[in-house]
Amino acid sequence: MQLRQIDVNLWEIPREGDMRVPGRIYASPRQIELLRNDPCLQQVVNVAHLPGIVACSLAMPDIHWGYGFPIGGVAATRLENGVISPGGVGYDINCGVRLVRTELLYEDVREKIADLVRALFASIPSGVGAHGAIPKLSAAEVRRVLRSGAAWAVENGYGTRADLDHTEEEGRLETADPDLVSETAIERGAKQLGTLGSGNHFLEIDRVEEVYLPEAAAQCGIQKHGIAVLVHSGSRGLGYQVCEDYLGTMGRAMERYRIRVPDRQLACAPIQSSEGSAYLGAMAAAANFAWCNRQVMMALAERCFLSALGISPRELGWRLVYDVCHNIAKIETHRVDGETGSLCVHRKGATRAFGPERREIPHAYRQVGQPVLIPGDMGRGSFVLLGTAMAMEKTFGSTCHGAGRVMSRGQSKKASRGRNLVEEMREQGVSVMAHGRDTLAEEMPHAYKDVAEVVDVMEEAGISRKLARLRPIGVIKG
Amino acid sequence: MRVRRFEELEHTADLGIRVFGADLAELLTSAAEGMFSLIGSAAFRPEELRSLEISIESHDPTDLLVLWLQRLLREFNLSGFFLTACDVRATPAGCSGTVRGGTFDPRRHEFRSEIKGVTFHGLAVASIHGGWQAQVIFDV
Repeated sequence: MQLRQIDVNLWEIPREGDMRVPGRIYASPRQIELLRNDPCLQQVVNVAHLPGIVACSLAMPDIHWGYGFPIGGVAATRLENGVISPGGVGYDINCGVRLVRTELLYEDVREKIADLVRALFASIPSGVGAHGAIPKLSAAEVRRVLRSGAAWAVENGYGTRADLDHTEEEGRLETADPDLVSETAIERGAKQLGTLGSGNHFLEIDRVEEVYLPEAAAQCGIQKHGIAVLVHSGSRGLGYQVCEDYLGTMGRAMERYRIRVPDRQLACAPIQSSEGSAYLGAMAAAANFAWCNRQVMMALAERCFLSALGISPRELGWRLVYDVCHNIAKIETHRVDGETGSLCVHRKGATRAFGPERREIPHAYRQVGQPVLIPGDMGRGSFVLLGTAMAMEKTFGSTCHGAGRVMSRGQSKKASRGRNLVEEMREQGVSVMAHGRDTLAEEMPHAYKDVAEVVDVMEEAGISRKLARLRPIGVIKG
Repeated sequence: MRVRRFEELEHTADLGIRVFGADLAELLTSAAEGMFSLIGSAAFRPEELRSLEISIESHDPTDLLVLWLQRLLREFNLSGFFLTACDVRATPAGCSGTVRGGTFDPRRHEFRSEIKGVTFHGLAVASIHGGWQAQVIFDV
């Protein structure tokens, strides 16, 4: 496979064979050397075969081996003759992140972190078999959640309407159609509203360690040494089931539409087909479930803080900065080759990063650009970025989503053997609680790329600007 | 000597297993055991056990394996059914059998990983000398 450098942190796989467009990978020279023989580059090539794909098959610097699309993959397809692929979204539809700011400073909570973590661990179910803080919903109520998204949570006492303004799509895709979601998916979601999930999902208490753009940070309510909360979760079993259902549907449809793809996990259908539009409607419904889920957990976390710290809401100053999704496909307006039009943008392990003046972002942020939340690992921390005009031009307004794994779970567990991981993290100033026996061992910092390197690539390429760096001090995991 | 029935595969972001069986039925049994070993481990009292009858239709062994595992995963996700024993037969139309298990309780049983889905990624089922072999990757 040919790989040529076209900019400092940008590499191209030239179009050849049945590729419809070239592949483009954002990576540092050091990162690309590590990727040369990685199967994820072949996945970038495979995505370039999708009918109707525009400009290029993109990958962000946190790229790693997924299925179908690489994790960190972005692809835009034309509405009129392009396809939509559930593999370009992933099983965890609208897996995403939200950031909450508070009035608290590190010194206010330093002695109480362990108590806070215990309270959060008890209040927010996270592991498998866990039921939600909300009793099992009826099928009809689940459908209301799928239609309303985060607004359902607000209407039921979890948060305020102001939160919706600071959520991507205001926490609801209007194209959601609950009737396109299977009974099995509905049933899986009924017990899981308000649950964190497992694996790399987490809820963490962060200290704002560094602020790079003080004025913009002030607009976002972020201050150095301030305490923030980051929630990383998605659509839970409901979303996973929607993906499974429609992978099957698409797989059967491809024969009819005479679509051939190099990888079965790239199963797709024309966007304008009955299968394509059905998936869009079901995916949107699952996305709404995820926004509602994060809204509920955010409200539960707020209650934990108020109770554990014995302070008033005014003293806590709890406010949603922003909520982003990093597994989604959306119809968006972009300019390509001088023409403006609607495209279906797939982001699988990639985050929307719209630049200033875009009407899709909250009014409060239109001058500075959309906040982007990039979780790293529980040792090295996370970043808050801002979207840029360059991102609109080069990556369909997309940036990275996280650190990306460098080790398999098996390798990480081997590297963790014989170590007291909770104690190790405590010595690093992080209080951790996890449900799963293997969760901590699989999610240790050594399993991940350095998120700072990932973010630096995006900043040097002009795709995003660093706003702040967050350092975890308390973490709960599934 | 215990016959090796499955082993974990290395995958950067997800979990996978390579499974073995003397015939297709044993392969399906090994795959089920392998998948549940990734989810966790559980022991049940006899009175806690229940049986499920499962039939899957597919003429393609690859699809059959995925549909079989998806069905079992669905039972786990909907009712907490955790497999402890499996008696499955390959049929001309696919497979049919009885699985036994109990309801997984995270307070009593050991949870390892949440499996989101059974993927087609790197999926391979092959009849090899003296038996069958397959590999499956799960989204976690």
